[in-house]
Amino acid sequence: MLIQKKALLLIGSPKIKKSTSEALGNYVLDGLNKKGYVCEKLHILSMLKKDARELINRVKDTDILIISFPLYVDSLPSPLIKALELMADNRKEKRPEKEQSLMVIVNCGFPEAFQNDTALRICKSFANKTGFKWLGGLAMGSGSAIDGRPIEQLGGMTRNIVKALNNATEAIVNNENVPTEAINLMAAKLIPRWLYIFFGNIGWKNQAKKHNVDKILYSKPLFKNN
Amino acid sequence: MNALVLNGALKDDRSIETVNRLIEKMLIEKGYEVESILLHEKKIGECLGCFGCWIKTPGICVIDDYGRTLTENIINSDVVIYLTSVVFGGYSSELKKAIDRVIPLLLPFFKKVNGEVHHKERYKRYPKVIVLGIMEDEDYDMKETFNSLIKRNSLNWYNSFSGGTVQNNLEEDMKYQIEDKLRAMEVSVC
Repeated sequence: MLIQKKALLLIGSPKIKKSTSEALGNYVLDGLNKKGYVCEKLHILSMLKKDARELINRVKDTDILIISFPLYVDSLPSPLIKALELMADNRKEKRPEKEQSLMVIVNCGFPEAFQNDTALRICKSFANKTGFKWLGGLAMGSGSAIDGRPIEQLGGMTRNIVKALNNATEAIVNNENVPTEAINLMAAKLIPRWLYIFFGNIGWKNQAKKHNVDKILYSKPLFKNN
Repeated sequence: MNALVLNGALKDDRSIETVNRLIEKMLIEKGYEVESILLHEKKIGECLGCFGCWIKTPGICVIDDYGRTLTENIINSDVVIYLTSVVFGGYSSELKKAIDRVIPLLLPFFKKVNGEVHHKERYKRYPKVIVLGIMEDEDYDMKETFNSLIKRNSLNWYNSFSGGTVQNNLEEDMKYQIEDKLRAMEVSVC
């Protein structure tokens, strides 16, 4: 009997519920589940607070590791960096005997997907230093257009994303690099940039209005010499 | 003139203590009042990406801990030094935890900077930031990634970043390397 392969999704968004990172990761994990993988997902920040050792053990046990995260100040959110540091420390002592692969998905709030490039390079460097086979990464801009909703329910707007995630899932199953076509589809703009800026700015104002702070949105509360 | 050193050493990492002392000494010699903060000793919660600092309490993080004090110290400093080991080409988790908490210093609104979309500035002036990434071994890829991270940060914080990697070796040599990175600070002062 064939031994079933294991896939582990790590959600790098500090948000507990309805993060875009989780929505994107879920789509790939569902795809792998249909291909017969034993799938599991963990929320990094919750695991670090609850049981960091268990997080490391789950990573050691998987065949394919998928990390989905949002871009925070041009790189990885701090809990994800912490998790990578712990994994690297653990693998210094003893690396798992089986071959393990890493694939990442990163989304940012700016329209340009290339703003994620440095974060992808950091992940690749982690893979190289710790003995994961680097399958590559998918990066997208305008992440807030997804807003944590399941990818399947978003219709035409995400058709390129769906294709990219399907292609990447196929690549994972074949233990191959994520194809360039998938990377390009993922990076394609969801909506025109001017429209994103326009609606984005209106959106911020509306949210501030809801909290009755639209009059003080521009305040400078911390500067002593203003 | 005041300078703030953010030491992003991990809890058991003593490797950048010497560099921190060295930087303090060099900044004092240049006439700065210097404060060093060992970040892992402070209570700084992780940014939860709630955007409360933009839409609920504009300019202030909703988490009431040392992260707030730190943000205030940063915006009121002339120079901020980010000190970290180079971790896979990026910042350590301790330094990043602090940096993730300073987004209240920006506005939520978007604007184009160098043809890319970024957040608008909230304050008229931002401190000069010098990033020093300490490396134990030569690694070209990680060095390049680190330099590109500094450039990216600079676009978000209105071109106030400089710095690079420093090879952790003999004290005299490190002093020379750090001196070179601090020169950028003097240019801005003139």
